[in-house]
Amino acid sequence: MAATTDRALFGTGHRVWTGVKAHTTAFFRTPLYLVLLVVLPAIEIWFAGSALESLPAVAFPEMEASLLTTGRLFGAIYATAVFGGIVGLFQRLSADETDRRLIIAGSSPGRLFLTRALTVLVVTLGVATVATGALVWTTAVADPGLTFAVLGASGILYAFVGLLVGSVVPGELEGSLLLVFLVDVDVIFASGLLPTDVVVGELFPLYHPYQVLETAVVVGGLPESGNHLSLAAGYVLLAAAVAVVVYHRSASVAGGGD
Amino acid sequence: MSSAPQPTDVDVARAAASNAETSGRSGSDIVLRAEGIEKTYDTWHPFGRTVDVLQGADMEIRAGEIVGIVGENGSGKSTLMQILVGALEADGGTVETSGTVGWCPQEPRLYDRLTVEETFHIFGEAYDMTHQEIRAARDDFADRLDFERFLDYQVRHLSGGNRQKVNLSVALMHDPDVLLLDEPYTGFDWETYLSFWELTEQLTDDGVGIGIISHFINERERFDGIYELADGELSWEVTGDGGDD
Repeated sequence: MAATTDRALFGTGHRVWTGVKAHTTAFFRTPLYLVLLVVLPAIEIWFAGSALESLPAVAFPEMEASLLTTGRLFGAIYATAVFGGIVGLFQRLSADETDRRLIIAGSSPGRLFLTRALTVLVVTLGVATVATGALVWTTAVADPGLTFAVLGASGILYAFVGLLVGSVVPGELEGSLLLVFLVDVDVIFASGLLPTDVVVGELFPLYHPYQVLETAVVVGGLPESGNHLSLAAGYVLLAAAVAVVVYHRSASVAGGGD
Repeated sequence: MSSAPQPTDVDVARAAASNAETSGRSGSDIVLRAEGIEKTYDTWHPFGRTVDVLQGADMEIRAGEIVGIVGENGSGKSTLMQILVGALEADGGTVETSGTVGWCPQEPRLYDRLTVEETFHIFGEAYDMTHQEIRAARDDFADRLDFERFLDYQVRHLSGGNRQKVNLSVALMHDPDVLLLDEPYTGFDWETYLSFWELTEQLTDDGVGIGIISHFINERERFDGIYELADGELSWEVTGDGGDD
């Protein structure tokens, strides 16, 4: 019995690995994706920093970091989250019918979700690496390791949101618009660019990761006040759990799966 | 027949089939039986259109039998086939199959950026085949359908005909007991078209039950019988010398 279980586990692990390898390789087979993955985050970080630097600091009295730094943090977390979300969305939507065929062939929706999630994870960590590199290149980053970790977590958080959106919104265009808009609003609230006393801003997913990112870049280490790290991790787990449930429900078909 | 219906409107059970007489045929075991299939495409949009596609469609396929499924454009043939394989949920009715099912959809459902070789592997693993079995199936179909030289091509770089060959091979590679093909030869050249029919003859000789959606009237003689789908219902017609054992 134990041997059977071991073989089953090995088989599942091997199949997930085959899927992740195949889909990651397939992603990186498109040179333009690679170029965009490297160029866009760097441009976004530079552009957002320059744009905010040109504004009068007096307009943002409660901002802890300089406007230039805030702009670069904005660009880094925005680029990582948008990339993660869009990649998650397209992992779900672009191969939906083929995934369904694979499920009918015998692959379980759970295994397929794991394959998709791990593929998105690999790509998102690549984007986080580029964004961290661009930040380190342009800004004095106090804690590069934590910066990379929180950017990666932000990307993964939105990758799950992308998988979720892809499961409930039927079109690539509609899903992309929704994601870009959501990340935009999220980062504006998180970065304090829209000063507000309304607590609702703190409920957006990137609020807590942004607080960790700001402290990691400006002073190093974790924020002294608030439980931002735990809450950020909680958002990632919540997004993952909801994405799994919705994916499973939408991908499961009568008679399919195992 | 051992069936394990799920608590949904349509039960897709993988079970041994009995010899129920829904079409007047007798003899070989039934490998696929569908009863009372209903499907309506509804919409929440106030200006949308509601279309009743299937209204109690019944059909069966027996081991070693090849049946055609015909009907006008938009009559619901592909919808029916998707329900038969479990790709689409019906509003009512039951589908029972025995053994494994192979499905070749009308539009190739393949991963565009994977190579043909990788496609065989990813589907072969889903079918729970060993690496040796996957390699053997790959070599066999690449030889029969003449796409050996494209094994390292990404699917998106294949011509329509070659893509369809891979689409068909993926449906066949695990030696299914019942095979459902939705216009599987679209884009085939003449030689491959003939190879396809040779292959179906061999499969039926081995006891595989095959259902094919077809538009060509000159193919009628190749079938043991034909289901015509009209007004949401299927009618059975024996063709050639098929249908009686």
